[in-house]
Amino acid sequence: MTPTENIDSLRLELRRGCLILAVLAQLRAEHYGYTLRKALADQGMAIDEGTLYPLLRRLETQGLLESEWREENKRNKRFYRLSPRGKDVLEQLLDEWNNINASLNLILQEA
Amino acid sequence: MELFDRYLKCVGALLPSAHKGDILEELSDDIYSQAEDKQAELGRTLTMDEQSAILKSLGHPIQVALRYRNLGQRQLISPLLYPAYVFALKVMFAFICIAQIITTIVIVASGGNPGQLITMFLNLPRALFFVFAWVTILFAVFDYLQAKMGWIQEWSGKWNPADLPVIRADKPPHAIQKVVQLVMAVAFLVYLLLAQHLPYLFFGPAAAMLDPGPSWHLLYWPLVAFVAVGIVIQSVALLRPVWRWFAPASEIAMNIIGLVLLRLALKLPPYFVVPHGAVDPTKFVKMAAIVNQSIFWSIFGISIGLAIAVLLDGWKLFLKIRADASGGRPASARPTYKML
Repeated sequence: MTPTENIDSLRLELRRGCLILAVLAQLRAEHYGYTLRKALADQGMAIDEGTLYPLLRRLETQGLLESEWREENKRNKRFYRLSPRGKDVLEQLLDEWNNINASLNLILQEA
Repeated sequence: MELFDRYLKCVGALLPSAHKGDILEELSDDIYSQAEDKQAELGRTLTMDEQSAILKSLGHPIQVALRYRNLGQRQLISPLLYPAYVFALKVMFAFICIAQIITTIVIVASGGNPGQLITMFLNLPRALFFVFAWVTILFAVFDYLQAKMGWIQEWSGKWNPADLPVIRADKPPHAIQKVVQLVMAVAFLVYLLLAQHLPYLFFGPAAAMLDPGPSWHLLYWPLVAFVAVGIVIQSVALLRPVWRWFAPASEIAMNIIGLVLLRLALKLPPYFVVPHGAVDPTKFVKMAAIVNQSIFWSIFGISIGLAIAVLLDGWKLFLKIRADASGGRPASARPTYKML
């Protein structure tokens, strides 16, 4: 693997770790798939549809999201939002994120 | 728009059957939303190249379907190769079974002893197991290598959406086809009714050399009733096409009744006997034995095929019932691609 490929692979791993938190946080407001993807991309967390939709499905299976089909502009769209359990999990993940952030800052300062 | 439909059809063919409709609906909405945004930005409809670009950003249909199949599972053979693996197994199993049947007929025709036949059939599961083991090993090795070397990734990266197969509309059987089937079923019933007076119609050249066995009458009338019921069912399906469950459910029921009849037929031997007063009975005894064995094993083989068909049709019906029961969303509106 070339150095560039190595960096890209590590970058991807780093982003992948944050994806679930980003998706859950964004779904504090209701979105359907396309608007969710656009909202994340506008805030610097670009995610391709091939990753997002299976992830949404998985989170829903785990009970963190609720979804509802509605017709809008003559097309059926699946709207997602956080479930009550999803809100709890998001709070816990945010705490974890803040802890990791604080620890990393300490490590980076020492380095 | 037609390119998008072709793409969605290809993805759909590879998706797991559970939630396939939902997945396709979401993907479809995403693709058309992207197209509309781009169209609004450009102020015109998209060209084929621009439509292709949207699809290329999604990825090859295999890659897209794979993401939905591979949700946290770990497999010996990845979902990417699994359909090809199952197909290879089916082909090899069919080949082994056909080879077995042909060998059986040859042994029977050459006067082989029943012990040989029994040994051969007892060896069949072992042969099938070895085929299963080798096909699985070969696919597992190939899957491992392709994952390491990225062969399929490389191949799917070069795909062109314009090469996707064109959609042919799935036509339901035309009413004329159903009428023809009904007419043929009636003709077969007439043939059966005539055959009891004209044995040659039923038994062909064997009627001149051998006599029918003593138990044919036990099968004859049930067979006539079976065909008659089939005619009634086909008539109902023709007159009531809105009864969507009727056709698949009645097909399964008829197949099960067919299996019962075949089971009855397996108990009937001898199917043919040496005619009274035959000049050279020894020759006719051997001929009758060969004919009876061939008919017996043919009926046996058909029974296995029909049993498999019953299981497969039952499984398809179950999936259909499950898919219909998991609705809860509004009837699908066809996505609109706004033309400026």
